Amino acid sequence: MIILETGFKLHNEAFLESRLKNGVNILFSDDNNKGKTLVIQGLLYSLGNEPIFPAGFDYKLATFYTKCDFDGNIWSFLRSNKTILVHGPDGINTFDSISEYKRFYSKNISPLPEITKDGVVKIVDPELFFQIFYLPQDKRNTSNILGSGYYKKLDFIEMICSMTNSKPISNEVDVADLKQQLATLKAEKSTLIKRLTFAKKHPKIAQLTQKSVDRDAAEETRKAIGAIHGRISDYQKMRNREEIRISKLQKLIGELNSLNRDLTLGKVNCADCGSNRVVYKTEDFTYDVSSNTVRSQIIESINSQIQLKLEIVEEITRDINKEQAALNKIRDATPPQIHEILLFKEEIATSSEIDEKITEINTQIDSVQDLLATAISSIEVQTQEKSSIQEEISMLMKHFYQQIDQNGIQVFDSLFTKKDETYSGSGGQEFYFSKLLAMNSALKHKYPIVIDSFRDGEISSNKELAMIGCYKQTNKQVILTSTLKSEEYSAQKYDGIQDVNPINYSLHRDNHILQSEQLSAFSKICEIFGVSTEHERV
Amino acid sequence: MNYKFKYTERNVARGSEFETRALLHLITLSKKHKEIKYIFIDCFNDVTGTQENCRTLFDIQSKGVANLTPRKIGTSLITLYENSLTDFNFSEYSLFFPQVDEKYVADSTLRVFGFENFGIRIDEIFEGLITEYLRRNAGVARTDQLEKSIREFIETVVFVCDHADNAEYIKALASFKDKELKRTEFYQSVFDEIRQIQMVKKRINIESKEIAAIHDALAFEKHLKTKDINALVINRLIGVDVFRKKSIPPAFLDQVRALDQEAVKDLILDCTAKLSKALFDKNSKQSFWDFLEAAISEVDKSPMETAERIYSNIESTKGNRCRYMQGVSGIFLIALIKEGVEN
Repeated sequence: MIILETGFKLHNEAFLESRLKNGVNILFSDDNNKGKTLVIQGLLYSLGNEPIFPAGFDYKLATFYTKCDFDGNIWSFLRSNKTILVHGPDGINTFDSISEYKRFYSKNISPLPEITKDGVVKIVDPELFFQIFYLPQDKRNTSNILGSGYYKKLDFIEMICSMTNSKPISNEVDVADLKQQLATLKAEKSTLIKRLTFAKKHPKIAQLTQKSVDRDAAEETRKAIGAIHGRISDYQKMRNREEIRISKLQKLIGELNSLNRDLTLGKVNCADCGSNRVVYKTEDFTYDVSSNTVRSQIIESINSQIQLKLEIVEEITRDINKEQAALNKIRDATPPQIHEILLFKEEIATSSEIDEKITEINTQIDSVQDLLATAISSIEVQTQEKSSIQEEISMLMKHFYQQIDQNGIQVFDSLFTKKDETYSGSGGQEFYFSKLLAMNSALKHKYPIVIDSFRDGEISSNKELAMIGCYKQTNKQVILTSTLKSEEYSAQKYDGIQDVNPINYSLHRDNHILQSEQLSAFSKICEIFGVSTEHERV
Repeated sequence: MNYKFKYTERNVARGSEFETRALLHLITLSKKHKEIKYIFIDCFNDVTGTQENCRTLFDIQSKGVANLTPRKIGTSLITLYENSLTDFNFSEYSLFFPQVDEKYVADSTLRVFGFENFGIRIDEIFEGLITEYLRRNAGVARTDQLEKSIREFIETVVFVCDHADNAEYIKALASFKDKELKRTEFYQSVFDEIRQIQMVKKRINIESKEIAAIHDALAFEKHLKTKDINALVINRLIGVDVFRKKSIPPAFLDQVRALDQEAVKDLILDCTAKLSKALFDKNSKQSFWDFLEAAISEVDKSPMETAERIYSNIESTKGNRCRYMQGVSGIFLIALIKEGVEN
């Protein structure tokens, strides 16, 4: 994929960057606040990234645009807040959510990897995916992935495994879950054991010490009984309604049968021949109001409805009986005077009952332990697979690190550093440099490498040149940004490097990259997407 | 010149099923079936259709005889031919007959075809017809002019093969959803009803009566109206489903929106009970048919109107005398029609 053009528009001004080429591009300026970061972030945002714009920039009102070449197919993207328009070889598609968009992207533009997250296989969001080739200027953290917090380090690793055709890896949720279950069961068991000994020693005290919670319990019983009464009366209402319907239908059958008799008031006989078959010749002549087939069908259907309703009534009666049984159970269990105490039947249960419970819990503990063992062993297998691709990347990271610092002392054993490890000075930048290039080599992805502020942390000039050399060797599009010191700027630092496309941002006004002159060019682009820009909110 | 009715078959009950199929063909499958509003039974011919304004006649001779030879086919064309000689405006002549032996026709898969399909056998048809004509008109000489007239006539005849499936003819009749889902007996019973009514019409004797214009024939009451037949089928389709349907017709939703679930069930039960009473009450059939026909024609005329509006339109224009179809139950029936009618 090669980025051909990118830009954005806010209110009545716009900026369009069309100087990008295949190969190494360096966007530079002699000072900060010239808009390099906005351009890079806008580029990624238009492709579906999460917004990470600097404060003060109202990206929700802006429109972002990028045009790319995917293996010879030109795809353009226009994004305004949540809406992304995609213009490709087959026309324009509109998406109102990233979920929709990423599905289309993965299917039609370039496949996105899938991972299992929270037990569901899903296509990764651009937010996570773009991190294989993009490094923003801010909020860098070598010990974690960048972004919202929805995705975790493990997801990133799983994504990389998925891209290199390793088996999909289940998260460790199962294990955590099982461990939790086990802990609960064990705790339950120990309480039961305590109670067992307590009940054995002090059966009377066990009853009497519960007095303090008696009142609450009594209240609960009352509520439970009330709820059952409520349900019974609902069921009874339902039953009444159905019974009324049944009697209506039964009455209807009788009525229908009587309706279908002709009112015969005497007989008409032909005066000439005595026949009672007199053919009427009137406009009134019409078909019968229904046929035998229809009538018998109606009666049949009514009968089957009655049958159905009788069954419903029976079912409701069963439900009522169940509720009544529950009610009786509560009543039986609570003789008037001591019902508070009896509510705690469980507490003063006989030791044999507690024994039974303990046995039951023991069985459960066994089965959970079995499950846990299986889960852990399967995760170990997966971890080995994980480490093989991780190892490859680590090795490559070492290789690239040596390209810029032969005597470097950094050790890379993982895609992320440990939490307590902090890099001083240029260390972090070197880590990211190595990591992005290593992932590029290991994953062989088709995306450009995009690094906002690639000299972050006072990288020395020698290292910088070595890095640029490495970037050139990738033979792909690389987009870097850099703020030059005034002496570097006046020395026209990048102009002298072969095969580098320097793009100067110094001439932009401070904090104001947008220009009204570029508006018409941007509006033309919008028109391609069928978007009118005339009635823009200002 | 007046038209004098001869050769009517009022006493022939045999083949009546075949004639019913000829009738159903005329109003469902013939080229101009949408125009046909009245069908004369055994007047001009076995079955003859005409428009609302009685402008022209669509004439069908039905010949339900097995093993027809081309010569017999020619003989069967006699009434059609004689009709063509009258001053009455016949715009189409059809012979409705069972599938003929494939040796007589070039393409035996065709259901409807012209004289060309008989190839050289057309000469036998010609002979059959001219012989029958001369037999009936003693003293008429076989002239070149007569031969030419008969040949030209045969070239205009539409030959229609019967496919003998009563249910299919009924299904073609009503554009009503779900009609495929009924049992064959149901369609047969509707078919039989139409046949009965056709036979009643057939029994009315008009032998030797004369008329001066097509619409004069309406006075004999020997015709059926297509809208009545259509209403009959819709009535039966709705009737057979009363109390069987589980869903609420969409056009009725406005009536139940404000009600809770149980009240909806009760309302639907009341409406279906009233509808079934209307379908059982022999003594108020006229008022029910009037309402049903009004409802069908209003739904047809303004498909976008709500059931409630259609109901009040009927009440204010045509009136509603059916005691079972007052108010919400009438709206319910309209909603059922709206649901069933295919747009």
